[in-house]
Amino acid sequence: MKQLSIFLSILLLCLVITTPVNAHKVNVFAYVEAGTIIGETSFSGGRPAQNAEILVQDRATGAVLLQTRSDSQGTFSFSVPDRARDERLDLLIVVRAGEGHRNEWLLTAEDYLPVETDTAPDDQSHAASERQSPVAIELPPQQIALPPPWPEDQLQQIIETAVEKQVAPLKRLMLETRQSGPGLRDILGGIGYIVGIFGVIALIKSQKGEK
Amino acid sequence: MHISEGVLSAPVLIGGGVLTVIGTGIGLHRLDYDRIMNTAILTSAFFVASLVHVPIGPGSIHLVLNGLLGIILGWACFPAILVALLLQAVFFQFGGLLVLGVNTFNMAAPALLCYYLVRPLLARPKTRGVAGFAGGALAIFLAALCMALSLALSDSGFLATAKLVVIANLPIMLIEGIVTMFAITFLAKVTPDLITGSRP
Repeated sequence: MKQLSIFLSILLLCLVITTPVNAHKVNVFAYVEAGTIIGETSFSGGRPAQNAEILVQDRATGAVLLQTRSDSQGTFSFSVPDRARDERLDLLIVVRAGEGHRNEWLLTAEDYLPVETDTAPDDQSHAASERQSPVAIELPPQQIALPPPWPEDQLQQIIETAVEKQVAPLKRLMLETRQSGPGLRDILGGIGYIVGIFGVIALIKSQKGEK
Repeated sequence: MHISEGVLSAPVLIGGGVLTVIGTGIGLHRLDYDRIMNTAILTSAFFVASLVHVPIGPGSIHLVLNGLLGIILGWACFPAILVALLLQAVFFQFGGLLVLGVNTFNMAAPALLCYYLVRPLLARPKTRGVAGFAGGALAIFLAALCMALSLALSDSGFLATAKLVVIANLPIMLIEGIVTMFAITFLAKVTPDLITGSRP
């Protein structure tokens, strides 16, 4: 019996040591670039989920707006559905990689739609009223007088494009971080729990035996 | 081999949960004091084995070791697999808490069947290797069928799903067969009581 325990422990140790950090879960990640939603799916460990079914649903009702499949790299892309754009729906991107693998990614309306510009005129009128107020007088006069170099909406678009461009690699990095599989800490923690749980079972059994 | 959260319908989830509770009850009842240590170690092996990924075929497959657990532990494989899957769900996000019952049953029931099928063949050294291989491979095959059945009961088209799942798991059947064969033949040499004893 003792030999067996030693053998099994060695087997376990080998498993722990040789374990590559990858396994059995499908990941999905999506972001927006210039009106197109781009997404990636992969199994944990980075293997792309090829030809996986992608469902785009409205989060509130669950209605399927769009259906597509991932390519051989595990990526997919589609333009924002008109209905979603019109009704400002929060999109739930569901990936189904077969054999019961499923995961989802939430893309809220704020994420994929440009920021509402309704508030812009308000700001302007607010600023205009401030200009007439005594507080505004304290500001240097040139700053108030200069007109913006671009029309506001155009400027906003330029900024948005630039930010998107800069943020894209960060999004990728985030995706990669999210995908890193369970580490040694998780594994050892889990084994600790198992020993603990069976310790409790042993305790209960031993108490029953005494009675 | 793990079914994710949100794929199965409620009746399947409840059915799997009930069967798992029954199996775990019997398993705990039959688990005697001397074997708790081995059960814990095999549970740990099962817990870790799922991280050993085999990059063959279209899907994502990994070692399961349910055949080995079944052959050595008998009914105790139910609590062992339940605990291991629970911790996998919590630590690795494999499967999920709601589908825990179904996943446990899908892996433990074939393991138990292998115990009854293979166990008698282990007594003789001639058939031991073959029996070990058959046990390891069969447990995976049946688990794949159980999984296809759970998916089919929630959705539709058992044959198509079953085909897909079984084909995806063919390489792992082979690997598990070999792993189980070596483990069993080794254990038979080191601790023959464990393998040839009538009731473990």
